[in-house]
Amino acid sequence: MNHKDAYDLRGLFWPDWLKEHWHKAGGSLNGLTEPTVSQVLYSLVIANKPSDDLYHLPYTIVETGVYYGATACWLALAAKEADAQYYGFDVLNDSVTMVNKLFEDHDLTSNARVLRGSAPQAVIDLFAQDGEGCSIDLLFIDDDHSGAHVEDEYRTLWPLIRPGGIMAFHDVIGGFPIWEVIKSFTDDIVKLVSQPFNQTGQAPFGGLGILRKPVD
Amino acid sequence: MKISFPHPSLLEDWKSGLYSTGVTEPWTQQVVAAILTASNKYSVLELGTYLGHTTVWLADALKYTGGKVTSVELDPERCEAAKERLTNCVGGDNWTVVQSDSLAFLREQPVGAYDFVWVDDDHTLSHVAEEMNLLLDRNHQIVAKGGIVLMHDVIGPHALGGICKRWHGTILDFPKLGTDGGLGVIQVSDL
Repeated sequence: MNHKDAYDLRGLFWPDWLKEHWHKAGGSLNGLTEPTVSQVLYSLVIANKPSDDLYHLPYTIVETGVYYGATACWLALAAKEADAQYYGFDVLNDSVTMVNKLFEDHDLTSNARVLRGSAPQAVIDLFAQDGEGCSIDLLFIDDDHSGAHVEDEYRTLWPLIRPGGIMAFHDVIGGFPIWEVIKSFTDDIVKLVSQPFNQTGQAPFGGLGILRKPVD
Repeated sequence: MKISFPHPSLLEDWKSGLYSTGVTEPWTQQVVAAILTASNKYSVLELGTYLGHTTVWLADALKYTGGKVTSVELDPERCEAAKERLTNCVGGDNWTVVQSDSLAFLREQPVGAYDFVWVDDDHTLSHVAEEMNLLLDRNHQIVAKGGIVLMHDVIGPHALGGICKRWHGTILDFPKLGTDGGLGVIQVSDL
């Protein structure tokens, strides 16, 4: 099995235009999130939406570190289906421009936009604008992978996660300290060893950590 | 909200209200299938076929990886109905429906036989506790090292979440169709 074939998921979850974009951008070997991991995030957005009669705030998805938008587009598609709002953050102008263009091209701008800024402060600033009581329903952390930064994002953004909401981390496998940092805070976390990492042996990192904020 | 289904007949069942009879919520099924696809597992066991809806999701997800799902159901009529559903929806030979009591079935399984297990049969506490013992007991661990056990209905009156927690599992709470719901995720150490 070659590396490209390893990502030939069913069309139900991976539109052709997004598949083409992912391959053109270099895929996992260029640090893009594995589509299998993005698919899990997509399904979590769909599944984790609270019942309308219990929850009246906007359903909000946030990603730190958009890069080529491989996951941003999945989350934007999920946001469209779940009537949610997706906000992505990246420090690079090129990423912001490129991914917002993808959103325009695929009718996703009503539910998704990428902002230039450095997390966690940029996220805090956005929510300060939106007023008290706003919260994040699913946060995907995938920017600076240094231990100090991951800890800063966890400590700063965890209070913004709604009870029952999800904080997820990319690259919990490999040479980054992400898993160790999160495990130092909690044992109640799922660690997915993603398919490409094991199957091809080529990607040096990957996987997904899923952490749910308790309701009580 | 748009809900995805791997086969049109499942959508028809959703529209007809069949899912309200105890079928796993489709959004939960989608998460289960996504975790299976992402986690590189090939030998899948389902305890509690019921009408075969989740079995279709599992078998469909395994089409690409080459894995196989074995589904265990006590009721002979449900077994036959599930086989018909799987034949129509998935075809192929990557699934098996076994008519058996799940505890009796598990007692016959070798160590490390499965690396992905979906538990959704008899919800009585003693039954599920015994299932988990058989699956995860370190002296005869049926679930392979690094494997994943997913439990349905860990939130609600059946209180299965306590069993999930006992095995150091994580609980995800999704909207329910009935009184119980949610997804328990237990990861087996790869050491």
